[in-house]
Amino acid sequence: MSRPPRLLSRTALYSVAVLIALALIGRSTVADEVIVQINDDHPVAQVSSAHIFESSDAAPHTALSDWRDVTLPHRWGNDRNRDDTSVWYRVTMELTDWSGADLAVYLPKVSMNADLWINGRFSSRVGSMEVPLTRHWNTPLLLTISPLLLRAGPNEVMVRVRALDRHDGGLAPFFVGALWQLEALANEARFWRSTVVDGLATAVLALAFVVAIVWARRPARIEYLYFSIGAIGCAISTLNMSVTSPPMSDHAWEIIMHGSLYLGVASLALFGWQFSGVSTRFRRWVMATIVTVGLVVLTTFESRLVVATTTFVIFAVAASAFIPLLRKLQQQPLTDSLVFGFAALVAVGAGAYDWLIVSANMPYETAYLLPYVWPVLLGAFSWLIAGEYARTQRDLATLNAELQQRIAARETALQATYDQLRAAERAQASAEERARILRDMHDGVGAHLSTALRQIEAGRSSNVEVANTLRDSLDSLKLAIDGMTLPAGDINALLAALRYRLTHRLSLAGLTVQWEVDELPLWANGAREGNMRHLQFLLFELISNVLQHAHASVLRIGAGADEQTIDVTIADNGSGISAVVQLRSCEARAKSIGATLEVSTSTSGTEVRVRIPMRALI
Amino acid sequence: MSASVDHGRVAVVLVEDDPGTRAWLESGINSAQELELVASFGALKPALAWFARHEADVLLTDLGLPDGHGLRLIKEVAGRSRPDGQPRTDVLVMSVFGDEETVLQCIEAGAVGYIHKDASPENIAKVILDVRRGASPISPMIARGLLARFRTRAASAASQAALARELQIDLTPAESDVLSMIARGHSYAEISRERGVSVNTVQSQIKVLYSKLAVHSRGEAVFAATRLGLIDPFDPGP
Repeated sequence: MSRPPRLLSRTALYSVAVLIALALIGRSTVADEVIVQINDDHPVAQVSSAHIFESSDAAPHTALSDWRDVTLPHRWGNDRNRDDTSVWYRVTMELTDWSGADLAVYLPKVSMNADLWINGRFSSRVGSMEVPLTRHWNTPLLLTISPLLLRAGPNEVMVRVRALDRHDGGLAPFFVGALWQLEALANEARFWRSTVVDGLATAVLALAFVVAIVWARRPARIEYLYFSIGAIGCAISTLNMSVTSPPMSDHAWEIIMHGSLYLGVASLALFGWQFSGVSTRFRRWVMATIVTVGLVVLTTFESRLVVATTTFVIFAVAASAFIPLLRKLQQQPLTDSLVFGFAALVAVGAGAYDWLIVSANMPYETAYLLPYVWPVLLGAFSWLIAGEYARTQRDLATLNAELQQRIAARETALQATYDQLRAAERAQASAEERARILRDMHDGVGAHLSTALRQIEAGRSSNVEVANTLRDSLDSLKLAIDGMTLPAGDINALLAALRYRLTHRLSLAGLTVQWEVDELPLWANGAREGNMRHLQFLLFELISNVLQHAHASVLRIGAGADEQTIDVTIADNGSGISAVVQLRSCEARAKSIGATLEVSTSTSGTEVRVRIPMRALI
Repeated sequence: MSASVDHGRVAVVLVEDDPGTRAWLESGINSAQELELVASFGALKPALAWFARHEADVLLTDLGLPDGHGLRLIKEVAGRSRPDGQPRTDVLVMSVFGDEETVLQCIEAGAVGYIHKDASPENIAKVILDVRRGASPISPMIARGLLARFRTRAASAASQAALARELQIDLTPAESDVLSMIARGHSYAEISRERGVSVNTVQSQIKVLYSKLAVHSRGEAVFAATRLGLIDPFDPGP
């Protein structure tokens, strides 16, 4: 991250103060050399002031009178002319009683890169001192002193620093001394500033990846996408802390780093709005516009002022997304509020802190905090997501249980209704059955008994006549009972039972029976309530007609079937029916079971054919 | 001790609880020279007691008796056989019309005929004498019931060939034919004409069929018991 100029009014004051200080120092610089003593008792010395000289030469400037005094940290600010000049820092190292161990110079913080010169000769360098410059501003720099260039007594140590103009060049107090001690210091600093930051960035990336998968499985939950993009953006922007040699121009790299940061922060804000249910089209447009404008401005103007301004706007708008989130969390468990409140506080604090660094309002050595805070914030977000997920799961389980209970209750109710219906149907069926039996009793047995009673009361009938009437009554009772027990649709059984019941009566009447009944298929419609009984009564009436009116000697009963119809024929060799009118009641009964009657009558006999369709027509 | 009458008349025992009906039946039996009523009871227990000490040629019994069901008596009496292996006593039951199912149960218990309660006195004697001759009465409804019973038995036994052999339940084609024709309403005369056998032959086939059904019913009971007996020894126990 670059270091734009100070924005506060202090800037001007500092500048004036520095100019005055330079004017004062300028007169006394030549007088005193900065000397550090290195010996076996004090193997390391910190350098907190030096002589400096600005030059575009690749070799040290030898005219010592041109150098001036500075205290470290020395931040260049606007106190420098061009990109292609270097600033040389010079101190004298006094080697006394030195046992000969390797020596080095350790620069905890330098911007952007530096190399080391001993006694006017080049000693060591890490990375590039030409454009593109190696970016060492966050990673410590350890430069070894070549032993060949040393001599006993005073040694001239020069650190040459180069920085691009838009970056805040400078040098923090540094160390000179034994390599093994400085190496330990450098390693420790590298661990905290590089290794830890890289590890955290990796963790954030992994989290982004997981959430992206969650989003891919549920694209409707757009907040997961925002979260994922946010995490990726923050992780990428963290690369700026450790990548020293980006594979592109410094400007392009800066745009990518800032772009990722803006995109990441904006996405996290969108996540916050979406998650707390206050996301609006307007808010999304505002965020998109800010990020786009910020990037365009950043690309167009290589200004530190621009960077500070856009960063401020984006940080401020993003921080406002914490408010609806915190409000929403009031309805959730206290733990959620505490966890997120802490993370929000840390994030806002770190954001403000880092912005102060960006706007050059912090001491030169200050390091960015946000790279360390991203995992905290994203972890808190994950905590919220997981909490919501857990609550959803619980609610779902509760809902399921309730649903099952309701289904069970509904099933019970349905079963009860069904039972009631069945009971009602049964009641209706038995009522119908009762009505039918009563009608049959009345028309059959009842009528015969009434006749018998009249015969006896009138006293004109013989016992035989009364007995015959009573026998008719029994026959019709038997037929009624048969009608109830016959297998549904079995016309063969019906005819057989009819003949069996009427055998006695037919033989009394002197009728010879011709039985021409084939094996018949089942009559599907015969399963309907009362149909078998209707057919039985119809045939009984037809036979009764023969018995009473035909004066016949032969009764032919036939039955056969084709694919559509079952035919039952009742024929006699009697005198024929004088009027077809007599068959009217039979026709009505036939119609009620969907059958038709075909009657042919002559003086030599009558044939009635009952045509019963195999399938229901009624 | 036998109650059979030595001069060749058929010894008949009557069990009927309704005094009117019993008197009417008694008159029907007595109207025939060939029949002799040797005992008449209005309840089950005295009849059982009598049969514990006596034999008869024919038992005519009602079913709903005040001290028990007539089926008990039928099972007791119908199981007896003469030294030549033939059944000792022909059992007939009193039947009300429309109750073919009960008649079939009685046939399964060993009855070989039935008399309707509305039969005329001559009819009663005729049915008893016919049965003695070997001719059992039948109606299309009973024929249908018989067919159904034989079919279900054959079907359930088909899965167990051994059982089928043991029970000899298969009807001969002639028997099956006669039963179906009766079920379709044909008279004995028509059947005899059509199949070229005498009416007597047709009638005796009916009695044979009744006893087959009774044998099967007993056989099934025996089989069930055997099966229970077979299962027990293989019970591994605790």
